[in-house]
Amino acid sequence: MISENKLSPNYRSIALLFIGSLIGISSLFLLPNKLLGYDQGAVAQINNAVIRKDEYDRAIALFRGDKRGPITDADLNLVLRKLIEEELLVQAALRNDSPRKDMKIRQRVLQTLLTSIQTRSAAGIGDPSQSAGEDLKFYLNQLRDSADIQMLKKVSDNILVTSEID
Amino acid sequence: MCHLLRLSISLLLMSTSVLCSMDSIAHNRSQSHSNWIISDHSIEAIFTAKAIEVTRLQTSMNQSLDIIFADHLEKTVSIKNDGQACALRNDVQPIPAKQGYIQAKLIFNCSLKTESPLINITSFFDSASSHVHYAHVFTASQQTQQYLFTEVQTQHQVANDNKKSGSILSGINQYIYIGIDHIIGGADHILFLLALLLLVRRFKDLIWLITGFTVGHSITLAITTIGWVIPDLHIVEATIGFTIALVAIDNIAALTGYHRHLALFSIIGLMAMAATNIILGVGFSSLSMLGLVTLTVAYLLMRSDNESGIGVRPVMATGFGLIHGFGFASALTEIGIPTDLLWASLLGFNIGIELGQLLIISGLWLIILGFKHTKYVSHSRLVIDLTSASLCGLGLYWFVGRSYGII
Repeated sequence: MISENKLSPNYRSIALLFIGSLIGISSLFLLPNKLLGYDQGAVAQINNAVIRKDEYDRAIALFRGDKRGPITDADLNLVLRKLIEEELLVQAALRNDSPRKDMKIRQRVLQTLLTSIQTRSAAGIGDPSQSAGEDLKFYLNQLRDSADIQMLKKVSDNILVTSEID
Repeated sequence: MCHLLRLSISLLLMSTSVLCSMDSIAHNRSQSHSNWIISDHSIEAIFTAKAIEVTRLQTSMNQSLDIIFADHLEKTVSIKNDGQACALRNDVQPIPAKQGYIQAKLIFNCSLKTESPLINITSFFDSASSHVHYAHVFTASQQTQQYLFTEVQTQHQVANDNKKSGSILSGINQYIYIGIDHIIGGADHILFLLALLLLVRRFKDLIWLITGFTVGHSITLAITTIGWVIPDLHIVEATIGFTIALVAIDNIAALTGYHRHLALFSIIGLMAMAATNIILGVGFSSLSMLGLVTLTVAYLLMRSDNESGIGVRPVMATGFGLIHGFGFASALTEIGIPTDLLWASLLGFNIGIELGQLLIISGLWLIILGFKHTKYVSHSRLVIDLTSASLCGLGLYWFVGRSYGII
C-alpha cells in the first residue's frame, strides 16, 4: 500500500523543485525585516530613505515640550505623519534638483551650510588653530580635491582654477 | 508515512538553506580601501568604506556616519617612521564621497628622508574579523604599491622606491590573495559551481565545464577591468542568482526529461516578473527580461535533445562565466587599480580566482566521489533532487531579491 502511495522519482523531483522555488521567493517577503537588510531601528521607510526611531523620539520630545498635557496616540500618529511629509518634500526637492536650480533654495542651503561650518568652528570642532575663514577654506579645498573639475571653455587668458580661493 | 517524513525532512533542509542565504554571505564582503600619497614631509591618506560598513561602528543612532568613521580612523590608523609615531596634522576630516560611501582624509607629519614608513591599520577588525583593507600607496617618485591589511596582518612597511620590481611582484601576490578571497567569500559563485557539478560523472566532463566557465569569466573580467565595458552591477548580481536557478532547473530537467514543461513554467514566471516590472516600473528592463526568457528557452530546449552526458553545458558554462566575470570584476573596480599596475593586478586577481575555484571544485568533487562510494549511493537521486531544489530556491531568492532591491 505504501509503495502505491509513493510519488514516482520524476514527480518527486518536480515537486521538490517547485517547493524549493516557492520557499526561495516567499522567504523574500516572510523573513524578518532585519534579515532582509532593513534598518531595524527604522519606524518608517519612504522610498529609499528611512525615519529612524531616534529621529522619531526626538520629534516626540519636541512635541511634548510644546504641548500641555499627556501625549495621546493621535499625537504620536500626527508626529510620524509630519516626519513622513517632511521626508516626501525633501525627496521631491532633491528629485527636482531644487537646491541647484531654485535660487531661493540654493541660497538658503548655502547660507545654512556656511553657518554650520562657522558654528562648528566656533564650537572648537575641527582644527582649533584655524579661524572660521580658514576652516571654510580647508573645507572647500577638500571638496575641490575630491571633485572632478574640468574647464571646458577658455574664459580668460589668465584663468586660475586651483588657487582662485587663495 | 515514510514518504511524508522524507518530504518533511526535505522541506526542512530547503528552508534551512534558504534561511542561511542572507545577503551577507553572498557578496557583501567586509572591505574598505585607502589611497596614500607619501611625500618628503607628510603622508596623506584618503580612506573609503561603504556606509553600511560604517554602521557596524555605530553605537548610537544619533551619531552621523562620517563622524563615526573619522573618529574610528583616528584611533585605528597610525604610522611609524624610524620607530617614532608620526603625528596627525589635524583631526581626521570627513570628505564628500559618492552615494553609499563614506570618505575621510588623514594627514600625518612625517619626515621621510631615509626611512620608509610603517603603516598600521586595525580599522573594522574588532567589529568584523574577516574585514580586509586594501591600501594603494603612491610614493614621491610616482610609483605605486599595494598592501593588504587583514586581522592577522595589520602592519606593512612601505617598500623603498628602488625596489620597483619587488613591488610589482608583491602587487601580483596581493591580488592573488584578493582573487582567492573574493571567490571563496562569494557564496553565489560557489553554489553556481556546485549546481554545475551535480550531474557530472566523469573527470573529463569536469575539465570541460571548468574550462568553459574559466574562459567566460576571464574575458569579462579583463574587459571590465580595462574599462572597455561598464556593466550595471545591480543587474549582474541579480543575473548571477538567475544562472544558479537555471542550472538547478536544468539538473531536474535532465533527470526527469521534462525540459519542455520546466521551460514553460520558467517562461511563465519570467513573463509574470516582466509584467510586474512594466506595471510598477521596477526591476529589469523589458529588453533584459526578454534576454532572460530567450536564454531560458534556448538552454532548456537545447538540453532536451542531449539528455545523456553534459551535452552543451561547457558552452553554456562559458556564457554563464561571462556573467560571473562581471561580478568578479566588481571586486577589482570597487577597490580601484592603479594604472601602472593594471596588468599585474588583473593577472594576479585572475590567478587568485582560478586557484580559489580549483580549491572549491576539488573539495566538491571529493565530496561527490566520497558520496558515490558510500552506502547512501542508492539515494543519490534524492540528494541531487534536494540540492537542486535548494539551489533553485536560493538562486530565485537572489534573482528576485536583487532585481527589486529587496536584499
